[in-house]
Amino acid sequence: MDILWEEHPLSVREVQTLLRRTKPAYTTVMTTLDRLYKKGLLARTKNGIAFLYQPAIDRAEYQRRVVHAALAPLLEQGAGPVLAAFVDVAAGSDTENLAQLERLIAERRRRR
Amino acid sequence: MSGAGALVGFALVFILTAWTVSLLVSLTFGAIGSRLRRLGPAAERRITALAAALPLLLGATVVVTLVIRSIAGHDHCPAHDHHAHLCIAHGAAWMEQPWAVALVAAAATIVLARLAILGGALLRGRHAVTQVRDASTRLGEIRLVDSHRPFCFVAGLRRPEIYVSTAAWHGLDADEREAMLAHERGHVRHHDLAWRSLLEVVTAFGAPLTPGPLLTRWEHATERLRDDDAADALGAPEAVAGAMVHLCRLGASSAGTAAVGFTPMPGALRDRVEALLSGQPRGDRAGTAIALSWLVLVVAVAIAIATHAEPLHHALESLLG
Repeated sequence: MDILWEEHPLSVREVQTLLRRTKPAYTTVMTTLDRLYKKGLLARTKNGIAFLYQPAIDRAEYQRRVVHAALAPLLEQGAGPVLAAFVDVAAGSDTENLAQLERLIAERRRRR
Repeated sequence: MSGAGALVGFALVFILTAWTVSLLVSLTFGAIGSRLRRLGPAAERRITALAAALPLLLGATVVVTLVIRSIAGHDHCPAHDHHAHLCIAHGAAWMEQPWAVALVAAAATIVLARLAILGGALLRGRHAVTQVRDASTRLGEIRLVDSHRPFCFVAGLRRPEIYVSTAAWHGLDADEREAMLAHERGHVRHHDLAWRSLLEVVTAFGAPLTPGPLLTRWEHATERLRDDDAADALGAPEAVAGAMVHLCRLGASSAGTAAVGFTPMPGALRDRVEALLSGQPRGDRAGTAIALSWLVLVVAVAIAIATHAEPLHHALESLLG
């Protein structure tokens, strides 16, 4: 994704060439790009017999998705020993309840 | 065979002691829960933690006493052929008691399952938090996470850090942000997540259904205590209460996000806000006094067990064997 955010559109061969450090096989790069395309992270257009890939989302949106995906399991399992949240936002989102509490706090502020 | 049999016998004693004590602790907490709460969050938190440790502590004390007694050669076995013996040399008969073996196996499975669930949760949590950290930007003492969901939490057992979403950071005003961070600093300073994990390990040895309510009580007391820490730091309890309510308001208004809610506990927000505004004492002194009393009681019980090892030994053999 980093490579394609820097420069796009790119073919599989071009991405492979830019991955100098790890030197993956052509088929590995092709499979990976195909998976990212199927996940909706990349878009592609046909250029002759090859595909040209480009990001379907920007870096900020990608990071938001990573955060969302990372936090979802914590929501499912319950935070337990993993996190200590400031407040249980979901449990406290009843608007009538919130309005009552806001009145209570405002009353307290007036009295001080 | 005698070694394995003795192990079953001693494990049975541990289960009997630890599970009985944990059930008694649960019943006691059920009966005195509201009075305990009136002592203040610091006292409630400390008492809950000590009570949670009691089953493991007493179970281990009884078993260690019997094992030492057995190693020292004080064995009454020759006169008691009618039941299995709680000693290392003559414990083989426990293996011939299917109910004993089954009970020990079931209890061991429960304990191992609880520890495995905890380990799995910690590993998955660490992986998730690593991903969130990689996507975050350091901003002074906090890690700012680009997200539409309003959240703020502390994560990390050894080096806890504060994570705040951009939605929460920009949605709250400066005073509310300070209140929120003051609360989270308390979690960081007191290593609450590490204590929470330790407590879960300790309660894993209790009877089925007993750990959950204790852990929940400890968590609630801890949150109220950190609210008090933040209120003391700012000199304004309503600022902390206001920040909590505003963050929930942001969660309610961010369409479809459901915000980051952990273990939904309806009423918990109202409970914390009312506790903050009521000016309830923290209960530090009461907590210390009760902790000291608890220590004296545990030492007294341990001495009683050690000095009455012989009748205890007979009683347990007669009961179990």
